[in-house]
Amino acid sequence: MKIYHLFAVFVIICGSARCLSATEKGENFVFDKADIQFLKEVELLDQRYEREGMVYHDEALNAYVTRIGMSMLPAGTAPEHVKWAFKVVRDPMANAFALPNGSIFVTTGLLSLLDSEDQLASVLAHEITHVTDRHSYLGNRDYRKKSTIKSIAEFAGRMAPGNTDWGASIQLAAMMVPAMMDFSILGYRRELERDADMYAFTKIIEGNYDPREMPKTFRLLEERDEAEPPPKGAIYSDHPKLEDRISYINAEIASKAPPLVAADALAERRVRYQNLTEGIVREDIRISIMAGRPRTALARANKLLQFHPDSADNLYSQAEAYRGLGPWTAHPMEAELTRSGLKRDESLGSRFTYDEEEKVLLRKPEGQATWSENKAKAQEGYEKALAINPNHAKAYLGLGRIYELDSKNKEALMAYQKYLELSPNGQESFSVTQRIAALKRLTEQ
Amino acid sequence: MNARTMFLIALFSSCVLSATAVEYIHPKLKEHEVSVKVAVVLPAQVDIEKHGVKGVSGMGQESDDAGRQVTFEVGKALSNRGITIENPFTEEALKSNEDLRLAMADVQQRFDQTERQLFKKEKDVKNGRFSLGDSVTVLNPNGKIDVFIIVRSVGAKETKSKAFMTGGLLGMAMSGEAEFRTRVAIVDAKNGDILFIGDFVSSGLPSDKVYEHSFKKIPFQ
Repeated sequence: MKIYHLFAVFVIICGSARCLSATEKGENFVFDKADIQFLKEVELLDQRYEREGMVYHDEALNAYVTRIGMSMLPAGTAPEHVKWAFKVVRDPMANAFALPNGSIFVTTGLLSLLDSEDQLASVLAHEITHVTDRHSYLGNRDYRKKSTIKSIAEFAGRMAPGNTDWGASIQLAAMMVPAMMDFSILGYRRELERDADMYAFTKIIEGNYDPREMPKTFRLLEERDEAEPPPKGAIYSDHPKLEDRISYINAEIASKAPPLVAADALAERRVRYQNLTEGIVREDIRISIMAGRPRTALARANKLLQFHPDSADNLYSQAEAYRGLGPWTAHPMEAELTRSGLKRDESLGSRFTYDEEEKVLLRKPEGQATWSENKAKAQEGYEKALAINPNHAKAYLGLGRIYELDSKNKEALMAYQKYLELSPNGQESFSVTQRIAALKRLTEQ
Repeated sequence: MNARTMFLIALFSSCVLSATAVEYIHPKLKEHEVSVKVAVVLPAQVDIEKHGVKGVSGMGQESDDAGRQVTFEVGKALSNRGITIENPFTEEALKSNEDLRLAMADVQQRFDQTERQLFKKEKDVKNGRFSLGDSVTVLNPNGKIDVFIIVRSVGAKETKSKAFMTGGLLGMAMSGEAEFRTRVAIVDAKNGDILFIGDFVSSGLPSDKVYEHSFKKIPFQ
């Protein structure tokens, strides 16, 4: 390949790069046909979340999240095609996201991870910026534009004759342009995320919340209860690195020196947050166990019990988390957190179901020992819950399951019968009736 | 290659590729250990994407419509095999009953969690490897339902211009209908065992006849 061929490749890539830098901002946004079509898709997605039972409805909690969200909105009327709605979505992964139609979602996983109202306010303010500054539309426009360049480059690469220097040059450029476009799409999105952080910082000060809670929120997002790889590095992510976010927010705090929030006001808001999210955290524990994240479930249950140690429901949730742990330890072992350990876990997870992995662990003596420990803690939790509330039907159900696992059939039978007596029309009544019949057959033999 | 030859190739390919199906049956079903008389088809989840020169975009309305159609077609095919189809989870029922909606979401989510391993080695259904666990009984409180039918389908539709850019004139001639991969799972409503999986690849959504042909291989009692 001659020097002018390489020059041609350089020109093609620079031409594409010019397109990369042509990113838009949200001021004076004017809708075009593609944006309206995008909005329609978004509306349907919003309806689908509701229809498929992903959205959690709890009057008090919804009113609380909405009140905080509304206090973070910019002054004036809502932007065109925006109708503000703040919703809680059932997902154990800590996350929040905004749809461009004004629907802002926080997951149960995030609500149970956060500690205070101030932290929630900062998350909501961040998401609101994505809507007011039209980030989704801009992101979509940017994606469409760069995808077009990718398609043209790929087409040119396919059509170019491979046996000439020019053809080879075009093919080389065609190989490089799509990768550049992908990186550029992510780079643009990271810029928008930074803008959203900056707006959130200003807005929470205006709302008399403490911006020092923002870096704490990022730290919480870094926490890992499960043995799973951390979020991918900055090159692949559409958010800036958490460390970068912490440092630029800390720099803002240092330069703007926002007034300190009175400690009693902070504490009051913290208690209010914990009171109003207690129910959703229990729901999150349940779905975390179901999603094969029992360590996260246990961490959340322990946090609940620190706040409200005499609650039968909280004790029951903790017991459920211990039962859900099975042969797994409460915290990841060091070997699990090494690079090879994480890789092994990922590979096992793709090949085996959760139940199969559990069986493999139970074959090992250490797995059996951990399971015995977890079972004992679960049993203790159910019993404590029943000591506080003797009519806690689900605690009887949990006890029955533990007894059954230990082949204490008579005790299991009694616990199940007690469950049915207390909750004859409960959702689990059919499976419990089946268990009772099976146990009766066993005890008769 | 002239236009006529290309048209014949396109016609031949579309006939051959119109629908292919593979199915795997749990031994319990094969050996008549499970009796299937009453089934409930859970709302099918269908996702269709449009692949164009300007990238990939969703087709929400088409996906929702296809979801309703697939739910209906699968039910019709089972009904033709003598299975009673009950429909307690209508859109209205789910809309007005929060507990039911959440229970349904839980069961669908349980399936999604097993999906990764199940779709990777579907033939293991023959060894009775997969189960959603007895948590599925939350949708079967009085035990009257024998099986739940869970459907997942993904579709991709190429625009004419994208088809031209990837496959030339032949590609453009063959584009039009979305390509679908649909999986139908029959799940024991009493213990969550996956009793059957049917995997359909088709140009356009499979019709009830395609499902019926596949269900013929199941020895329902």
